[in-house]
Amino acid sequence: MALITGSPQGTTISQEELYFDGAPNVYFQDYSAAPLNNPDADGYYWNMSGTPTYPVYELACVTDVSLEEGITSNDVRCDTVGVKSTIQRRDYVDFIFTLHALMPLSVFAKISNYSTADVGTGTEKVGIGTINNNQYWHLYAPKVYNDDAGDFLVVDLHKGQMINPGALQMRYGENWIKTFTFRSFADTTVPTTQQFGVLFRSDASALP
Amino acid sequence: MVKKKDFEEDAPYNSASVVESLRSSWKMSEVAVAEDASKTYNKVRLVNKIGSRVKLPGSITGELYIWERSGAVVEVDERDAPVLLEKRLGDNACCGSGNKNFVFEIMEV
Repeated sequence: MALITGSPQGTTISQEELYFDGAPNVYFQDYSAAPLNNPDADGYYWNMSGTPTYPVYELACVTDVSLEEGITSNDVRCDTVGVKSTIQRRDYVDFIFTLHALMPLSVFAKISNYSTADVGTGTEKVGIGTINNNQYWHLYAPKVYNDDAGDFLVVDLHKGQMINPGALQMRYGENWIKTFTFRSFADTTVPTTQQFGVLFRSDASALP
Repeated sequence: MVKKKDFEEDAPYNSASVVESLRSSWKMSEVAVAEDASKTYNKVRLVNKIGSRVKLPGSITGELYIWERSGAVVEVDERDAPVLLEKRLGDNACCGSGNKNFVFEIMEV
C-alpha cells in the first residue's frame, strides 16, 4: 500500500496476513531417544519416533500455552556517551502450558517429576518423593494451521526439564488443572544455532 | 487251597481278560498323563511400552508377570498372551489419533 509519506524504496519484504489460533499439540519423549530427523537434509533436528523403551507421550488438553525465553542482557555503557550496545546471551527457552487432562497417572507422573508408575490389575500407583535431576525430555509441539493444505508450524525443543510446577488446582465447579513449565536448555549435541530448539514451517503454497 | 472251579465261579474272568483290563486302564492313564504333564506351550515375548512398571497375572496360568521398566521384555505363556495384548492404559485415549495405548506388543525375534 502506497503511503502519502512515501514508501521505502529498494528491496522490501512484507509479512503475510496469516494468523494462528489456539494451542499446538504437545508431545514429549525421553531425551535419550534420538529425534526422528537426526538431522534432516538441512541439518535440523526435530520430531520424534516412539519406541517401547522410549515412548512418546501425547498430552490431551492444554491451554494458555506460551513460549518464553530467558536472556541475560547487560548494557555496554560508556560513561562518556552512554549505552552503546547490549550484550545478550540466551540462557533457556520456556514452554509453559496448563494441563487439563491429568490421567493416566503414568503420564502425569512424568511431567510432575513423580516416581515411575506401578501399573497392575486395575491400579496405578505413583510416589511423590525425590526428583531425578538427570531426567531430560524432548518436546515437540506442532500446530496445523491449514488442515486442507496440511500447512503447519512446529516448535521443537531438544533438551529440557519440567520445572517450577504450578499448583494442582481443585476448584469448585471446574476441572482440575495444573500449570507446567518445560525449560529447554542448551543441547550441546546439536549445532549451536539450534541448541535450544527449532521452529519449522511447512506451507507449499506460501513458500518457494 | 483254592480250586480252579471256585476261582472261576467267584471271579468270572480269565487271565486274558485281566490283562486286557489292566492294559486298557493303563492306556487311559497313560493318555491322561501325556495331556496334563508332557504338553508344552510356547512362550511369547511381550515388550512393555507404556513407560511404567507393570505387574499383571496371566489370565490362564495365573502366573505373575513383571515388567520392570518400559521396553522390558518378558516371556509369557502363549495362552496368556492374547489377553495381555488387549491390555490398555486408560479408556479414553486422547486426541483422535487412533492410539489405543496398548500396554504390550509382541517382540519379534
